[in-house]
Amino acid sequence: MEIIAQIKDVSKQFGKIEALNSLSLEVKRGEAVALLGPNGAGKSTALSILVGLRQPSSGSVSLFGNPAGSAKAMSKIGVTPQVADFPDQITPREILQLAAAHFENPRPIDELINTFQLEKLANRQMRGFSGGERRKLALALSFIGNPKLIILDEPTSGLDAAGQKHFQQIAKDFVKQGGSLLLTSHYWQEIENIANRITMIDAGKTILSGVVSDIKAAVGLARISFSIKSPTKFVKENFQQQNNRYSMVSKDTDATIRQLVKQNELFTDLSIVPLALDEALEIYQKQNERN
Amino acid sequence: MKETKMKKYIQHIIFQLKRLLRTPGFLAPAIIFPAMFYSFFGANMVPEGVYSQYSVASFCIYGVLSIAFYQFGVGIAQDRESAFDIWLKTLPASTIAKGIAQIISAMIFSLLAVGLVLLASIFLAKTQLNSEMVIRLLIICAIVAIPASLMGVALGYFSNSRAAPALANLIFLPLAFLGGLWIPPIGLPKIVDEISIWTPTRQMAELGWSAINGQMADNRTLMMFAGYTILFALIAFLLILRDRQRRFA
Repeated sequence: MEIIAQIKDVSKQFGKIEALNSLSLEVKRGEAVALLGPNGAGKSTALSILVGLRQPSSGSVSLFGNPAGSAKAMSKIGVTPQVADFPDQITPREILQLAAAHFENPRPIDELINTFQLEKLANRQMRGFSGGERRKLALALSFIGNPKLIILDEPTSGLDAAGQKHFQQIAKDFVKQGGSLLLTSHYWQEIENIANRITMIDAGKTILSGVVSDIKAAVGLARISFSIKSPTKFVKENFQQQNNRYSMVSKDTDATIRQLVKQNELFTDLSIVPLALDEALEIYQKQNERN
Repeated sequence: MKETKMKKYIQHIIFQLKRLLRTPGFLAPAIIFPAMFYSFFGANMVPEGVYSQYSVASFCIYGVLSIAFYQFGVGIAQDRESAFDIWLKTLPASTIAKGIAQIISAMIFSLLAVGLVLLASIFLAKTQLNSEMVIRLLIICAIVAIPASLMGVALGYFSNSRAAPALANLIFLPLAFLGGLWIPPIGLPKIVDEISIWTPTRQMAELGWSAINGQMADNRTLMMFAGYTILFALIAFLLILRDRQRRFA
């Protein structure tokens, strides 16, 4: 697959602080990449360098083969920064019109207003808009130029649950239609829903990178949990108790259940669920460190 | 491609105009106050004859300065801290379009502020300006707008958004008074007049008055006006560099 965005060995210093340390990252056509890491890991710095808002101290950055920040590069991308605010005196429609004028083939404004459920707000000055309403507009704006790549810094922070779900569907449809995404997020469910590849960074360095399904398969674990009134020694020794439920992470769930049955455990309400991405990542990371 | 470029510039100009016209905090001090102050002070407190005409010129220059200080000074300081301004930079080639839109909207608003002073003078001035004087005065206003805007830009890049409105008033109002824009120099106390001749606003005022008497301003005024223009350009340039280094390096 063609690489459309690339950060290569990029370091960035702010005075004595090293925000990025030889970071490399790429996004291929049709891919949704999640850039993960704790607060202060360097995610937003990496994105701002990629869109040309900051200059790297060393290393190279390119977007569609053009230098980051160049008009050619920027005409093919859409951006929603972590903090997006708008002048109170302007309406969403006017901001969309302003943004659309920068692109040769923009999306129809009414179509975006409908897609992002901004119909009731479109012609109102933004004074008094909630954070979620402003966020919706910020997300709509990243789609205005018919971009090939959308860069989203914590896209759904401030949106309610329905808004998050709605946006995740829009993002998935965009990728399905051949678009590419690069996003940061603290919501694991969102990452699992949207991304097909993740890069984890900490202290400005890549600490893990891989395809989501590969990571989960490599970990190959599931969580078994059940309720039990009078647990035997076997359950108490091998399972973790949380309220009335006992649980364990197992690679071979069938064997674990066979063993429970063999011990004559009278369990009820049994559930077996694959590990969530954050748990899988933690184990995957430990496995990698050991290797 | 050309059509997109044109659309972009037009949209930025419309955006700037709408944004500022819907901001009472800009509209009142920058556009309405010059004509209002002229009505209160300029039209009534000066004798008829050439002084009455000088007063119109003074308040027109005051109008140009007020736009420069409030639109560029306060506006840039606020933009520099807004997330919206950073987002605008992610649009292709938006910086130049935004800059041009700011200049054009400043010209339109200056024309509005100056126009209101001229309109007020039709009803209130004891001696009317003739059409030649008006044309010369408009040309001088356009020239004065250059150092005035550079002062505004420098203030915008020096100050933060909270301090900018107060700082603009703190610089602009005393400078307007010292330069003889409210009270003609002959009406100023001797010590103030001695300071006045060194201020940039006095040079601007002298140019405005030269539009009334139809004579070229003296060499000293022209040299000082040029010197201040270069100085403000240099200060603005250095402050823009500092800002870029801080925010985008």
